[in-house]
Amino acid sequence: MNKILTCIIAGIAAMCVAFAAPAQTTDSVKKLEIKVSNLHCNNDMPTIKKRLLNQDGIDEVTFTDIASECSLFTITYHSSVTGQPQIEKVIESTPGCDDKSSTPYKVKRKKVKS
Amino acid sequence: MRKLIAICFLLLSSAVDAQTMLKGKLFGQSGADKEILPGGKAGWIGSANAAIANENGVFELPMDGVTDMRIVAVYDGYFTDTVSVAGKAYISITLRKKTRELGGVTITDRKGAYISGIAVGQTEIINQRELSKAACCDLAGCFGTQASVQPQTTNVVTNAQELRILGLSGVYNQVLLDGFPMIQGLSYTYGISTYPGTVVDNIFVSKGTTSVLQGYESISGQINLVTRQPEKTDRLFVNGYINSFGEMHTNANVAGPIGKGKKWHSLLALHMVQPARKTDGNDDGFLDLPLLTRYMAYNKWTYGNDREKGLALQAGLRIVNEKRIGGQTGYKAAEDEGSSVVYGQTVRYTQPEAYAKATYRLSDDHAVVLAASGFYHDQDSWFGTTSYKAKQQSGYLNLQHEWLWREKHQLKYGVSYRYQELNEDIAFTDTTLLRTYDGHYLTQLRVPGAFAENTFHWADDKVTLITGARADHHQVWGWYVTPRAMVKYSINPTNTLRASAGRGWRQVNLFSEQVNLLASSRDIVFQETLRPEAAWNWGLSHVYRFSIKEVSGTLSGDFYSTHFTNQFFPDYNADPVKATIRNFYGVSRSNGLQVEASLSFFRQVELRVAYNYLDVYRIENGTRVTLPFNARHRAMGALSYHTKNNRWQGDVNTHWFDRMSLPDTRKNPLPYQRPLYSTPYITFNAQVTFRWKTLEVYAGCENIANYRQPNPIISVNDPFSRYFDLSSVWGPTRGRELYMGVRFSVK
Repeated sequence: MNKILTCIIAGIAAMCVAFAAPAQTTDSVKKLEIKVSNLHCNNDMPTIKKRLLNQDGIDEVTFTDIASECSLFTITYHSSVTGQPQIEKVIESTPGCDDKSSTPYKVKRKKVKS
Repeated sequence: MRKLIAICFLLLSSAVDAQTMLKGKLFGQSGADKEILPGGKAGWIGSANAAIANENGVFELPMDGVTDMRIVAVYDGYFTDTVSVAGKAYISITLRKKTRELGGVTITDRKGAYISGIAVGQTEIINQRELSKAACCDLAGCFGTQASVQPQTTNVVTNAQELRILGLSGVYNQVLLDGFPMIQGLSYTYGISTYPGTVVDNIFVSKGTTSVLQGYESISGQINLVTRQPEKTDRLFVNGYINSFGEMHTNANVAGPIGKGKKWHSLLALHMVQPARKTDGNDDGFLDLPLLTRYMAYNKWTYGNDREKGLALQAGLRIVNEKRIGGQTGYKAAEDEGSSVVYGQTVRYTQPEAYAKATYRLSDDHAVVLAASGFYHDQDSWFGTTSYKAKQQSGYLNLQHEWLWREKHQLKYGVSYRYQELNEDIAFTDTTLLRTYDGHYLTQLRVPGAFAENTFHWADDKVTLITGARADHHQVWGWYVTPRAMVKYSINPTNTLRASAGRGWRQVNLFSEQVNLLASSRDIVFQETLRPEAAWNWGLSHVYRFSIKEVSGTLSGDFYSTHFTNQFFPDYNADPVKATIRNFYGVSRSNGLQVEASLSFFRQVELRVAYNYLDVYRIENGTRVTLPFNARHRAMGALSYHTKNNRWQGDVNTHWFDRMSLPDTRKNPLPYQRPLYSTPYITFNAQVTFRWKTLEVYAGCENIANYRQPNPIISVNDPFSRYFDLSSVWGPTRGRELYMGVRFSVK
């Protein structure tokens, strides 16, 4: 009897969860850590942060202090709007803070071992 | 069972919770720029439920009891908008800026000239903001607020100018247009004046050794003139300028996307100069400035992005037609060319040119680049009684593969070909001067070459090393190997050290680069065939950047040394009426030190001060001979102030020159002798700019103190005598110059 009740309650709960919200597109808030290199001045990180925040779907950007011309950016974003490739592209296309004609920042990608 | 009910309760709670909040982001759009709007308000239509966007422009709205799924977004200065969010988990709202707020004033937060933090070699960047601090009618006039490049007059009658780096003649630095070698031979003498500041986007000035990719010619440095990018520049830009001599400049640029896909972008730039009235301020009978008439049309095309896979193109077409008339005030070009009664100089030329660069990016790591350029220069000129007719065809071809290896190092290698055919015809209408060098001259260049350059990035980019070499085969003198290296060490975010060393060489184009030989009454004696000039250069630099509250700045110091292994210069000292042409294999050095401070206060005041020490000399027969026209000590100061709204801007700059060594004229008869050294002098320049919406009005004064070099022309009263000489000009000759202009742009 317990098993039958369990199944019924679980089923109702699942249906409630499934139909609770109106038909919305799938979205989840994700966190991404990206290491960026080629940072040379104190304004590099705020420049990248500003550029990222001006993109759609990005809720929050934090960064660690500059070390060895690298910084770790933590980005909170909506997966239905943007994704890691787009975010990396935005970083790498950000004009340099002192040389607007160049795009110096590089995302340090982890190596995939074959 | 209880546990199960608890879990189900939690699940249901979370489901209800997910349903009740909607997240979104609020943006504002002004022109092409889109920025977040922190503090903006978003609320359900017909409801009191509203949220304020946080510092990231993000807002969250509770959805409880909402039936009308529309949001009203509000922000001061922007049009209110209503958007439907039905079926969405995330909403992005962009508000348009109200028109009445548009186009107030142009706010630019970037300081003008600065030292690149990225470039491996010491590179100064002069951007449009810096160029707007002066009239900057042509390229030679674009360096008034910085110290590395010194414009120098090479022919006072036609106002031919060169750009000196490290105190060395302009022929030893490489001037590039969008990375292409378009300034050489005949285009060297007047070429730098034919690029108006209004087509310039950025000027990159590199001292000392530079990359081998652009060729073997750069010895003392490189000046890369990057023209406006069609995809980024103003859609319309118009500039008018007039100075107190009556010379008028008119410039118009139009740019925009072409075609439906907007992958092509084009810029069309037109430039026109109308001559000044005849002016002789020092009453020496010669015009203070030539009567200059110039027409230029330039068309640039871009396609795609060379950082993305596939094809990207950049191409430029340009044609220049110019006429310069100088000399005695009574000289009429149409009647007096070649006259031995009235002295004058006329230079007329037409120069079409084209360049193109195609990049095919195969992947993130591989790209193939093909670059080609060429120009034709047809010149008809008179220098007193000397007729000089010349035609030049030049070509450049470069194919290279770029490979990003180990994800951070980059190798570029390829092949190149340089071509030049320079035909010169010299004739004299007056034979009393006993000159013997009339005739036809052909200077050819056929140089195939191969090159490779690697950029290493180590220690998380703290150390960047560029090593490169090229081997080029001169059609007469055989193989030349050009090794070069540059290293940058970022000690920390505020301190950067750089070092460079390398070799360069170049072929001499005698008459086109030494135009004073043609203007002089001296005969020319050819002792031997000229070999290509070659030199080694090494240098060190340090840059310190700092920022303390509202004050930021850069302190920099650099030292460069150039050692020639073979050099050419006309020897004027052996005989007062002859110039001897020969190779010089002895000691010839240039040592240049520069220290500079560039400070910015409260983002409104910029101050730059610089000091240069130059020691340029050669050892001849055991005697140290200092190169003329180089001040051993030189200082520059530039101050700029703009109001907070950027509506008003004031700029002043000053240049001080210590005494300079001058050509030795002691063998001339007494009336035609000049001192061995010039006198120190100082010049002041100022400009005021007023901006209103898309309009800029500027007015200024150059050489405010009205300083003039006394007696710049030797034998000015008898320009057909054998002692007539224009090569002793070391200071301003035209006196005070007032000017005003207007710039109008549409973004």
